Amino acid sequence: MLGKVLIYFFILFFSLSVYAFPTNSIYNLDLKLVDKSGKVLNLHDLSGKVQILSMIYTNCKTICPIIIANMKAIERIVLLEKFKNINFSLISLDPDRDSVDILSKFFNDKKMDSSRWNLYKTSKEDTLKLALTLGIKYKKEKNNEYTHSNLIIILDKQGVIKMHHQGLDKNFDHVIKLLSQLD
Amino acid sequence: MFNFYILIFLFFNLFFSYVKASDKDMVLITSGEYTPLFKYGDVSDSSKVYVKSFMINKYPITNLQFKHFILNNPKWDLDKVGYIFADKNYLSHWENVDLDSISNYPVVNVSWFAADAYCSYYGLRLPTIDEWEYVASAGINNPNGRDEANYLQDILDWYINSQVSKIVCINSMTKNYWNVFGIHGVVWEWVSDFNSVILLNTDAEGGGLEELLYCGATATNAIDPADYVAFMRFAFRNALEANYTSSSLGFRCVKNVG
Repeated sequence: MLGKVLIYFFILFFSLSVYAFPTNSIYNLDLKLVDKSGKVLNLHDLSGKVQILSMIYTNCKTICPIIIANMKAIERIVLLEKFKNINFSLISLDPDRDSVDILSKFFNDKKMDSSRWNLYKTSKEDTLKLALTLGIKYKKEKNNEYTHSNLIIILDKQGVIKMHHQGLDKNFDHVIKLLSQLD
Repeated sequence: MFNFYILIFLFFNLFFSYVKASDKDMVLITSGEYTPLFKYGDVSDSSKVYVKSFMINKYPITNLQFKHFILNNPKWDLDKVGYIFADKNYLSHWENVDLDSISNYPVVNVSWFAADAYCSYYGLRLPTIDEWEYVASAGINNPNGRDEANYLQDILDWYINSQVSKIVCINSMTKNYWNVFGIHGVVWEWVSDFNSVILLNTDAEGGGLEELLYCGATATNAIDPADYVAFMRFAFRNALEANYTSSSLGFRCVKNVG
């Protein structure tokens, strides 16, 4: 009898630990992503790794390249420090123009390492939901460019937002300190 | 706490949920142009925004309607919603209150996610900033409230003196030119794209409202009072988060026509 109860609790605990994210995790959002190779996945499939992510669009000529350059600078420190569980994700703010092919080409042009990096897009509605959840503001201007927050966001393995780093800030000390705790 | 008869009433209404959300609660807003914030001084055509025709709820969504939605969508019950979707004040005004007594008052303490889910459930959506501002720019007797003597002063008085206790039931709201009730003077309302208000931390490519406001204002050295009223709404939206709830923030829904 006691054995049965223990097994029941074990199963309950196990199932909770696998499927339930903290209530402040962004992985509670039920939305689908398409990556740069056309693969469809759930947002919560990003769980299990620390995610360093930002929302950008490939036509963006000034700010987005700096955000990506700064994420690459973080990547170099991550490699030096031998952190193992850090991924880099970029999600398009412009799903109309950023097709899978364009994302794929952008990925190659920027020489991103596919063992750590990926590019994603989602539907227009879910782009808004994701941006709202991440605290990213954006606005489509009349010239089809976007005004947007330049933020690098750090999620722990459970999808809880741990840091909003200003995308243009080149001092990564507090980022690295956080990553060493989360890795 | 919750009146038994109301429950029976709601139970019957479960079967008519789609009927209830139908056109009879909505009014048609015909297409037109409006001049958004900070552009009043600019008389060129490029400052105007064209808004397509749409239908909008006559009244803000009420506590009764929202309760009805939750009975159909239990995951939006206040003890089931995760923090990422609604902060801890979500529907807090329902605690220790006879819901019967506030059933016809606008629902408040709802997050963007909850408001969005409500509208989606009925095949509707939240209005965009442009749609909401277009409706709100109307006076009592004509589509441009700025032509009416008390339009700006009344809104300004409300912004300065607004108190939670002043929330009124939908039957005592005033209507505007479009037959839309309580768009001003009752509660603030969610819009779908509130995060497109960018005052700080912006990508330099688009300019950003901060520049328009501060640089523009000092350059002309004159601020239209209409700008001030609209600016308060924009500043409020700029401070919002999608899981944020407030005792003076409700919503209404819209739908496309044609």
